[in-house]
Amino acid sequence: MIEFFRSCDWIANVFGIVVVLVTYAIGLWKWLLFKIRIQKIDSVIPSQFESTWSAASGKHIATVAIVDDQPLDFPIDELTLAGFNISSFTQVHLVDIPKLASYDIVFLDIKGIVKDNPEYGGLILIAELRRINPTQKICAVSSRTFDPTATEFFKQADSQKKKPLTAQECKAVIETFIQQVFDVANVISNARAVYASMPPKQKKVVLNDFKHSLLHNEGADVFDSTLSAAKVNTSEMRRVVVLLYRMIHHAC
Amino acid sequence: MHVKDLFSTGAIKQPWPLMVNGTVIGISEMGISKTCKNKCGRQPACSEHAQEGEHTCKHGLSCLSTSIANNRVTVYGVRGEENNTPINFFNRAGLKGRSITKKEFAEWVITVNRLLSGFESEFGKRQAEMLDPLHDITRLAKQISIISNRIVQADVTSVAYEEQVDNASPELKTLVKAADLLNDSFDLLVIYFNPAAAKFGGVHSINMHGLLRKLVAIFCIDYHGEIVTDSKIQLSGACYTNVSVYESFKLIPFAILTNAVKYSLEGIIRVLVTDSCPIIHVSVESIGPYIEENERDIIFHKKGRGKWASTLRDGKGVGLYLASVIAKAHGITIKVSSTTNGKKLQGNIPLAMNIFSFAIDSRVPLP
Repeated sequence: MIEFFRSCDWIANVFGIVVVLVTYAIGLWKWLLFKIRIQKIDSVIPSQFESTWSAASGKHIATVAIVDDQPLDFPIDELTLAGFNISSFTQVHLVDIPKLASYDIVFLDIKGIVKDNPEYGGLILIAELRRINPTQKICAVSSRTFDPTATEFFKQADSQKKKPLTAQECKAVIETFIQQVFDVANVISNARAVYASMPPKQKKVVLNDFKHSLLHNEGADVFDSTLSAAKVNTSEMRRVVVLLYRMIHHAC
Repeated sequence: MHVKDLFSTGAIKQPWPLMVNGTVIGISEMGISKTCKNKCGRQPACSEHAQEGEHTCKHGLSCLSTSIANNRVTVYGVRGEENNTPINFFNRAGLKGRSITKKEFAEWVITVNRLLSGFESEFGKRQAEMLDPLHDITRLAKQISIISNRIVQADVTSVAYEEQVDNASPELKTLVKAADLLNDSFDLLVIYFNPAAAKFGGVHSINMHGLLRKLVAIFCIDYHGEIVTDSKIQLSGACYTNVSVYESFKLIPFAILTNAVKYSLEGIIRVLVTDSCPIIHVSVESIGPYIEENERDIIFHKKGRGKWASTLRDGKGVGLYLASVIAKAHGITIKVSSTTNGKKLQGNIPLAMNIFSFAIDSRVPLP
């Protein structure tokens, strides 16, 4: 019996070496799988998403805010009937700026819209909106273009229109902005870049949250709060991922 | 007020002799150096010195130059920190007690700039106050345009807007075009009061032929089938390349056409657009008063007018100036040529074929 075991010592040697090698190989394989999996945000992007996304899809999810003390200068009813998601504010406080910054598109007047500064509140507002959300599209709506003291206001806007605005003008501005904000190729490439800059563990959490929120049909605001919990602290990073989520959520 | 005139009032402290754009102000506390008086006379040689910073002239004196509100301001006849000229018997009178440090000069420049920006800000506020009534007028003009267009679009027999305008009554057609003309004139006025407005409104893509066709239609106001304007405008050529421009761009051809309509004395006004992809050429040809060679630059300056044009029509020299302001904002230049045809009006005004043209490169991004 003893002789038998003695004659099999080579098996023990082989067994010892093979087990170690296999263990290492499995570990390496798992690590590689983990790396491959976490490196792809594309795993949450449905196939055909890029090719099927259209401006019409953007129209359904774009949020538009009109900030003007004379809302009758805007064809709000016509725009709502046309399917745009419009919110109107006659006056805002400076503390409301973060809320206003969450809109994709803002029509902004310069005078009489900020309770804390009725004369040139729009100027303060536009600068703050630009700082908080640089990707937001702003159309300056005022006839004060002749006023040199309002130059800074107009310079910071993406577009400028004289009041009163026709439905045709508003639609043209909104549609141009929607194309720019929801440019699918641009959104995906930004999301990839942001995702690539995250630490590996955060990547995994973000991907899991993304999939979980999509699966449970959760709104963008809920997903945004889960991102905060996942310590995606930079608002710029969160905005990019949330924008991709909004688009995919709508497409699914 | 020009910077030179402001210094000449003596209201601004001038510790050292000063020149603005090469012109001696001559009311400084230090007074002009004897060396400057003896060697250079009334026009110091350092007036030619355009470079920023300190410079020592051949007579051993320093001058310090800087730019204030786009004016070259030079302090001269002083002894700067970089001046190593040894004081001797001959130059003692001209150099002694005339030292200046860079810090002193920089501090003085800061105070002058502070004063000028204070003036600028106050002027801006006052201008905004004075122009405030324009706010309601431009609004009303736009309202007229919207309502007239809405009436035109009520015609359900036609689908295209241009067709609807063609089918409209002569009175309505006139109203639509006059309202457009009024709005464009207000837009031009805005650039006059605030040249920075030439770059407002972001960049958008336009088709040059479409823009010119619309403008030409505005200028031909019909009334009972007759053309009211004295001149007939003919658009020819084609353009398939779109260009990216600011909102104000349309005012360039608008101002040139307004000028042509105003001064056209015989024949038709020809508007030609040529697409030599990527460059698009636009020219407006009309027969009007001869533009002298030396005036071909001046007419694009504020209040600048041609000699023969002034004798023929009243004007303020604003339209072409504004066109050039907007052209500059787009990085393009308006060219003008004037060739006499041998005819004369009222016995002495020479007639000429005047051609205003510009070219825009669709590849070049806007400044």
